[in-house]
Amino acid sequence: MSEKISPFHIALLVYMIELDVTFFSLPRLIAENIGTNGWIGLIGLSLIAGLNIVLIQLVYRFAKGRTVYEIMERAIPKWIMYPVYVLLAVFWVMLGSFVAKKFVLIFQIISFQTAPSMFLYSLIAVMALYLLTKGIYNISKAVTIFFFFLIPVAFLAVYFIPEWEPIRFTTFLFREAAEGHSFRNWLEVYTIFTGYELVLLLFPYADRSKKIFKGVYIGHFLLTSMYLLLTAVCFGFYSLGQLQSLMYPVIDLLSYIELPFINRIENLILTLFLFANLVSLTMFLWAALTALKRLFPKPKKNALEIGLVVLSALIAIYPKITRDSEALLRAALYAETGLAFAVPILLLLLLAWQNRPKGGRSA
Amino acid sequence: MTTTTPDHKPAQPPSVEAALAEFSTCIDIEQRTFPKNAIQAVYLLHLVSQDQLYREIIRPFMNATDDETAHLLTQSVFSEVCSHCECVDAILNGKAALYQGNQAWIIDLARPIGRTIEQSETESVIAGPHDGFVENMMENLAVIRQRIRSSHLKTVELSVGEVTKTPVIVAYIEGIANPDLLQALIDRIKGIETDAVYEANMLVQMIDDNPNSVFPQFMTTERPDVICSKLTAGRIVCLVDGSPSVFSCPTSFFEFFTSPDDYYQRWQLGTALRLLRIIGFLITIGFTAFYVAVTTYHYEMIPHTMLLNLVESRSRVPFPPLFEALLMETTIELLREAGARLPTKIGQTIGIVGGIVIGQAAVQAGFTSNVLIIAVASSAIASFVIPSYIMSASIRLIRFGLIILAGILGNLGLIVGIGFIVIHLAGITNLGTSYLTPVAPMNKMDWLDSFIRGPFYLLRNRPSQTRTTNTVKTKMRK
Amino acid sequence: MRKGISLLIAIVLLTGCRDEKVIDRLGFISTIAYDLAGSEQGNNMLHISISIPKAQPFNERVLLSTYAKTSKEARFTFSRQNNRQIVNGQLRSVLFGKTLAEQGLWSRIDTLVRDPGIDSEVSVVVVSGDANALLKSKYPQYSESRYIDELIQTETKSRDIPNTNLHSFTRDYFDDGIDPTAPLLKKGDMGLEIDGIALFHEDRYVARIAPEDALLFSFLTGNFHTGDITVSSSGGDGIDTGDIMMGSLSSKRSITIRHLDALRDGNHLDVTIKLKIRGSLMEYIGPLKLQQSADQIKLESDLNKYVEKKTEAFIRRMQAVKADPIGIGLYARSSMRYKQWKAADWHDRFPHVKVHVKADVKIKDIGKLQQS
Repeated sequence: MSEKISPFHIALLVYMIELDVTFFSLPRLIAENIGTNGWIGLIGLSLIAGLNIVLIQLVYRFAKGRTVYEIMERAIPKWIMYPVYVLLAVFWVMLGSFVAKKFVLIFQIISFQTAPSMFLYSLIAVMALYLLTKGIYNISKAVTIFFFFLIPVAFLAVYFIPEWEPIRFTTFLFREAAEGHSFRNWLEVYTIFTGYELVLLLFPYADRSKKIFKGVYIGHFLLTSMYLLLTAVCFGFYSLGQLQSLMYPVIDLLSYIELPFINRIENLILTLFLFANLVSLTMFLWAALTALKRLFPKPKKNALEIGLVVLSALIAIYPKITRDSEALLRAALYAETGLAFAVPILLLLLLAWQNRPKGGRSA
Repeated sequence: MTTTTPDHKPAQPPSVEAALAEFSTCIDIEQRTFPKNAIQAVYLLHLVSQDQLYREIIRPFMNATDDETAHLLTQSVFSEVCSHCECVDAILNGKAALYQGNQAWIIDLARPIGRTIEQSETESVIAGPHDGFVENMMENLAVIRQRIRSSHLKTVELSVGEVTKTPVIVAYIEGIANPDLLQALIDRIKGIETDAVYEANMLVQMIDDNPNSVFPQFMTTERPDVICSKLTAGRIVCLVDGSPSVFSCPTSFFEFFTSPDDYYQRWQLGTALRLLRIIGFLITIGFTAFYVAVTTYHYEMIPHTMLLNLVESRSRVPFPPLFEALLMETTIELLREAGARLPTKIGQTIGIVGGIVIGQAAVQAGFTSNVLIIAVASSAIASFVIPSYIMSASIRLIRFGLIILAGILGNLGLIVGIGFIVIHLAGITNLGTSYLTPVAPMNKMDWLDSFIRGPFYLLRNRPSQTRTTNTVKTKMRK
Repeated sequence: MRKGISLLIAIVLLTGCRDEKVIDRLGFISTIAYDLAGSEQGNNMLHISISIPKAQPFNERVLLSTYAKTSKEARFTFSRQNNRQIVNGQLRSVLFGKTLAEQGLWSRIDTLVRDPGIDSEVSVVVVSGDANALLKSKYPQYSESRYIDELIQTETKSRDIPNTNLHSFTRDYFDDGIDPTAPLLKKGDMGLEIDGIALFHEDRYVARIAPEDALLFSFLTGNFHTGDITVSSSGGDGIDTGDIMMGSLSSKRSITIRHLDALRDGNHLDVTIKLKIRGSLMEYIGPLKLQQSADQIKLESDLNKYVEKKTEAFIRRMQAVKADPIGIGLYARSSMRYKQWKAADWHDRFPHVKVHVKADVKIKDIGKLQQS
């Protein structure tokens, strides 16, 4: 663990954690919840996520090298924190498992319809275990390679230029949302960004000599531009009503592409997105691991990792159909979004209290 | 350098009897006695040059008196030794030991054994130097010295193998190579405890960080120009006596896809060649597996214009695509292995028999589809584009795993397989440096000289993986 | 770890294979034809045929036909008949009979779009007459298995007829400012023939554009870059300068919307469609001296009049059947506020919109011959 993660890899890590299975339904989510010209709403939501990152950055600045757990344990007695850690760990495992399970269920729409979904899930789980045992530094290296597998997909956007009509964007702003506008609906779209908050746990592994938050912002910006590109392509390629009616518009989008040597590349690209979901699962498991390590500072080699992956597989058994899996994932993502805002604020309060000038004597 | 076996006490004085006892039942030990001056010479007959033996020992000592002998032995070619052990070592290294009473001298009469410098069979280039390393380590060092005329080229001599006592030289350029890495390498080589090492490719497997990985973790080459470029890049090289391969470290995965050719051609061509190799790598690793995945699970992916032809060629094959592919891949590997074992002339015949007869007949007999033949053949050809033979062999082996996964799980199997490979690669280190440099950790400057071959005026810095302090290698501007 | 992996491999070996679709054991549906069944089969019944190309002998096909309520039901019947597993991942085109199309296609297309095996580039074609009969008839001069698909592909490439596939049909169906179109196909004496363009009101077939007018119609639907146009003075098209044939046409369309009332409530719209058409003169039989610029200009203005007259006639026909395949609604929508747009259905407004066409035809060159 001597090597530190550089801002570049943090950027890719943030990008890959945020990118997950919601990518396939993203254009529909936006069309349904925001309506016409939803891409503007997407920018707004991305800025809110940016604000959240600013909060995390403040924590980083005031923490002065301490980890999140250390800050909390200084203020709160350990016997309170330990159950919290267990809860957090279980929650993160759940979140990761739901993401991966939903990917499996979507994958089964296209191929391996009758294979047991837990078998496919266990494939991902074993990969996640393999990654976890390599440590966060090596995870970041693997993530870099996975990123380079996925980024060429963006160039497929070129294929849609002839069919792309800006007139389909309409001149209306945020109209035709399926259920009108509510906090909940916008929150549903906002959850596509969850994942950046794990940066809180990366503090001790990041290269302190460099500006790690530059990396976080770049990663988030990259993801936002990726989502914007996708949304722009979809809004010009589909009509709004069609977009709202399609379950996974990205799959349809990809199935439209006919290359000379290969058709129906959604078969390949959907599978390729296994990597994005693998990274999300692994990183949430890793987050759970850091929490559990506070309880068991000296675990047997790989015991915690195996335990977490087994737990994740057990949790993943529960959502069996797409509808359940969607509802569970959504609920978990809402909670995670709440955490993403609450934890930095709590930490900032704790830090303000811990760093308060001690009776003015030192001044 | 002395190596001691437990039988000897270092202080044992030299004596003819002890030496002869040491080499009892060795038919090639020879003892020559000069009665006039009571000199006895002991040497291994075939290690010494007969010419030199005659010139340096037989002629001068044949009729020399005691005084003359004493005078002769003061010459600098003779060096006095005072332990039995040293004598034995010297004799083993092709020297002759002269005994007179309790005193002993040694003189180097070793004759070079082995072939002369010629072109490397495994790594040939079109343009560029055509010499290759030989089995004689000193000659190899000389070839390197001839190219790097710098006193900063330093060497550390080590020896490996309890029985073979193979000499090993670690060479580096002082002021460029990182001393920590050098120390790490020396420590690792010293830490080897085995009885025999014959080859550099064998040695590296004993010192790498991940002994269970299928990937080679040290770059080995038979080309002096490659080794010199590694040295000046700040890497450390290591020569093993008796092996025409020399290895350099720290090594990254992408180094195996570079060839000296890239630098001898214009940079655009060099870049194109490197991209070609990456394509070759992808084809080798995935093409057959992809064919299996598509024909077994993803019929939709076949363009409709190709579909019927593919179905037609598949329709007479009785096996599922997975077995069909494994069958053909195994056949190709058999052909390749047979070609490698046989003399060149017969090897060509094998190629013709295999390529034309088996390929053609297998399709006609309905054993395999001709599209698969194309897939298998092109991935075999693509595998030879990878300059390093050892890396190319590793990749060919991995391919079988991917084919099986693709046959069972289609694209998912393929992607899962690739995922495992990537995770595995991410975990590999070489002397503690990342195997995936310059992708992870990312280094922009290194990209100019790994995936592409930038023009020389842009290749300013030494590779970051070497952790050199002396980073600038080119100051030239455009 | 290692044990885990080997265990996993064991499971993989045991469980895989169930979803296997080895290509040589499949029957790929390439075309489906839907018709309303006659009254003797009962109401709501469909007459469905599928064509499965065979690899050997080349160009042969298997043709299966049944009566069923839904297409999935039909597939069960087909699967029972066929010796191979029938899959629809290589479907290329769907044919709908005219009577079915008149009743509305959405419920059929819904099934096709929902099926993850079917890609969104499957051509949607309406047959003037019986789709099943068209699919069943043999065309010995052409490769049986691919004839329909190739015909549609060639025609859409030349942009004579719109490239309608499941995606574009769904897109226009869901969009409130535009209606879908589809190519019309019919059985001719020698083979299949394009019988024009089918216009839809929502998902119901309502009008047809004749094949000879298809090009003029495609001027209206968007930009295109290839095609030929023939105008004849004898055809009563209001041109007295002779027979003209122009090739290598490229056209650019632009639509401007003007609100005639200050309220901009969308009930008094004035639409101008500008067509910028460029082409080379390929053939001319008539009195004009083409080497003279003045005569070329005269020819151009005649052509302008011809294009304007014809296209405006189309639009009036569309207005009569409340079908807007051009997408004037899209432009109208962009010129209004959301409330006004939503105040009325575009289909009700469209007939009352004033539409003008302004053509701008220019002869790029007159070929290699100067005098005629």
